Amino acid sequence: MVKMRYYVARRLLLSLVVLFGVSVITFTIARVIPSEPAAMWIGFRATKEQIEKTRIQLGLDKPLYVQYYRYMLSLLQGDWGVSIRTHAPVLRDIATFLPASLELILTGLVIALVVGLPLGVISAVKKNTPADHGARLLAIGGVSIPTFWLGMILQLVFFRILGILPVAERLDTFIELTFTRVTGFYLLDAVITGNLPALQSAAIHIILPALTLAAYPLGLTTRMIRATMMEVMSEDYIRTSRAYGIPERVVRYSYALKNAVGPTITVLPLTFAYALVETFLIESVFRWPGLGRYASIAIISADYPVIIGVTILIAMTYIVLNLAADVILAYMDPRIQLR
Amino acid sequence: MGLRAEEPLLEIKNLKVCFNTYYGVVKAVDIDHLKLLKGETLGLVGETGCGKTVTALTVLKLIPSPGGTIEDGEILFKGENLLSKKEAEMRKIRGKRISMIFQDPMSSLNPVFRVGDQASRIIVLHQDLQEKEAKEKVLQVFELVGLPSPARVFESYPHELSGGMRQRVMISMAISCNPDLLIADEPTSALDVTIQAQILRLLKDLRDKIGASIMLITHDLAVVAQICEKVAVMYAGSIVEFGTVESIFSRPLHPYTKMLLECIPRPGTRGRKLTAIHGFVPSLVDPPPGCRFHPRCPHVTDLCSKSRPGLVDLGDGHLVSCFLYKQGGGA
Amino acid sequence: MRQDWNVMKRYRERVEARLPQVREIAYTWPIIRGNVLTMVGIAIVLALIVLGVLAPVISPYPEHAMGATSSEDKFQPPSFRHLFGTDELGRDIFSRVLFGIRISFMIGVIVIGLALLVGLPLGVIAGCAGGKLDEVIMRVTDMFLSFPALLLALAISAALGPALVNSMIAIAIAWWPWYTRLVRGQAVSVKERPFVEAAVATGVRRLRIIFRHVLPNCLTPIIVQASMDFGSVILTAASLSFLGLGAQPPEPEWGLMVSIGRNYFLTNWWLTTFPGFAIVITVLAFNFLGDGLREILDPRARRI
Repeated sequence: MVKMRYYVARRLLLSLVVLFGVSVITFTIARVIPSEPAAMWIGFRATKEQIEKTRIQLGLDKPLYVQYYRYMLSLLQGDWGVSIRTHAPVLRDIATFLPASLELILTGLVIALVVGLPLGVISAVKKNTPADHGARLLAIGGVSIPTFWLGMILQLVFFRILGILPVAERLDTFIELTFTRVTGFYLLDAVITGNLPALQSAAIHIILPALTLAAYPLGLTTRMIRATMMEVMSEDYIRTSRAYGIPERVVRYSYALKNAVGPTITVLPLTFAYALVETFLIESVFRWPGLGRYASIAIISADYPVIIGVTILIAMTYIVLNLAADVILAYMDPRIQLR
Repeated sequence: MGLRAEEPLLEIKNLKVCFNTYYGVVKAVDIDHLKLLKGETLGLVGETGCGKTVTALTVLKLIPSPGGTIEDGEILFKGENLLSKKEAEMRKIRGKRISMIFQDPMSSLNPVFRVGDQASRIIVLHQDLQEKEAKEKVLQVFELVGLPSPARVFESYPHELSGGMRQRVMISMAISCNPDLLIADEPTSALDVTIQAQILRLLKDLRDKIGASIMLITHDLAVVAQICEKVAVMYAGSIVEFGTVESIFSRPLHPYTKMLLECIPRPGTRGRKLTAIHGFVPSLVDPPPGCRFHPRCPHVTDLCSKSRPGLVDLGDGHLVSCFLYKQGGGA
Repeated sequence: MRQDWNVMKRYRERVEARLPQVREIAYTWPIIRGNVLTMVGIAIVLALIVLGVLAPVISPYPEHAMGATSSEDKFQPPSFRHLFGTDELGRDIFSRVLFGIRISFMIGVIVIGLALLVGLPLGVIAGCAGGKLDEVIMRVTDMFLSFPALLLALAISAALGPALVNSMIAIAIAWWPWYTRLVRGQAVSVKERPFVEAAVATGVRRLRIIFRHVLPNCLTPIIVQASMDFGSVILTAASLSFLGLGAQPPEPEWGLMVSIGRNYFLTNWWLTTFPGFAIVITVLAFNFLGDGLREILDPRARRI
């Protein structure tokens, strides 16, 4: 276990270095690339005096390293700028809208894993059968389809044509009026407050967007599991476990899968970060009141502080999740700790 | 099912195993007859690729299914034909009544599970014990095979153990359910010579302590000499000679066996050229007609390329597959 | 696929007699042919290219793709006159989709070209130089790789301003690190090969060695990756356009068409379905291609 601690410490240090680099990149995007960084920060509709005030505030007349210093200082102090559109601090807006997106992403990822893992295993084990080909087609479709388009098609089919699922939002308007929020996760809140109609409403509202979001991770998971399982199944230790009479189902889902999930877990942070970005597209299609919708509106309305703020958030999340994934992987595959 | 004294524990009759490969159909195994008695240690000897491992895997019906087919034959284990058993029945036999030890313990143990967990899983499966009791048993067996600090080994992962220790773990997994038959496929080939000796001693010990019957597969005649009682020599998928270690080593009959023994460098032969068997191991897709050894045999006759000699018994349990010899003795 | 062993032997003997480059292709062609997925991918891509090139000729209403509108024909459902129907400005969607092929392929070529232009030299220099330079370049690469590609492209695109050109630059900036990392890995092993040692020994200048000797031998995985990336790049560009950052009206870019069509699609489904479908087919084709290529290049799959 001591080895584990060294490993974690090392990875932590590396993450900090990367975080630094990310801050430099975002700084460049925020202050260096735009031709009028002050105007972008405060909004083009601001008065000349306001723009000038911002210029001085951001230190745009000073050398780059001073600007960077001020930039980092305000970031660390929690001042991520003010949204030009909502006039609220960006950080506060992010906190407001984050739970909705998290609920969506988590639901989608759970669907992706619950379906993708067995699908990948079956595909690998029953190689070159119709089941395999079907699974592979589904997987490759998942990674090829543009999410915004998939969402719309689902809306078309399930709302317009079949009329069984709602087209947008998180809850029916009537239910929303009397709904008590606790965590911001509506499914959870409905259970906590014992609000059954709300639970039902939240559930049917989340299905389509979650499925849309799950498409890419599902495809990815299936393909990765399939690839790794095929390798693992031909290993000697699988032959050993069969030689000792272990039932085939256990061989596949325990002995083999535990060896095969490694790369998939490594890819999970990337998948989560990707999903966060995909919410920009999905939430605008489904009018889901989350971070993605907030960001996509910001893009259209040139709400620059929001764009930068969300970018920083997602990058940070990605780095942290990567660290977490490495640690989990080291825990699951004890050989890695030695490195 | 009880065994009469002369009834063999394992008997292989007319076994033919083929593999469909890109290059054609590989006729891997073609065994007339092979017998193993209870309490006996039989050595299955031959060059790499002669079909020894395939034979062992066939006993446990572990031949990969698309690709490998068991075309014909019977494998009688305590009188029951294993080849006619369903998969579910075989699973009850594997690890419980017949166990196998594999060649490379590093790749044969699952790297992401603790060694102790892998071993106790088998006991839980076959002996219907609780996890705690299974763990107790595993620790006992670990001690039996001579593993130092069994408790620590239990918690270890395969890559944390040395080669010798890993092989001991494999052996303990194999004997943990008291199998009737232990098949050891080149158990020492992946180990250093010093560890080799230890493992062989261990196997001998176990054989004496628990009366295990062992089928030892190896290419190393020295190993055979050390712990086997009977020997079966395989060449290109068939048994060419069978007998006790004494009679094979002192009076080898088949030309292949003779040449094999001659190839072993002995003290006193220093400075002389090493003997080798000229020619190459035949392709099993297109094996030589008749006796598969005839292209390399110094005593080849016309008959040898026309038909395959069966195993003949020279009267004292010494069997040989060669036209040079006739039933009951004489050449 | 069962092949006669003797036929393969004869074929192999014939191929051995040719040049090494020809040999490489000749070895892989039978395998490529046998792989259904790759063939389908290649076929679709070729078909798309042909359609795109011929777009001005075969579109029934090419002017609709270049800015003209036709207000009397608004929101016509698919018919023989308008295969894919018309959009909110009466333009023929089929023609616009065809012209969209040109835009998408152009985006793919330019973005990947730019990304390679920056990424390859950096990667091969890092791999060959080793030491501090390698460390620095790889750290910088890692930092860029800490952003999901779409996000980085999005932020840069927003900073540059909404325009197709800007989005292409932005995506290229997000994409180059992948190639750097890939080629660096290759370079590290290629530089150990004897012919590189020979070049060094005969006094060839270092830069020349790096670019004339090492780089060409690193290209195979790059080519595979780039062909797989073509689809992803088109998808990213379409996503940017959907968000308002890439192509601007009236360009017939697929993502933009889906974005605008969103406002009307519940009652006029053809506005978004066909452009989106074009995206799907294109990305699928490149994914088939890439998947197939990857399967082929996997040494275990090679049976010759």
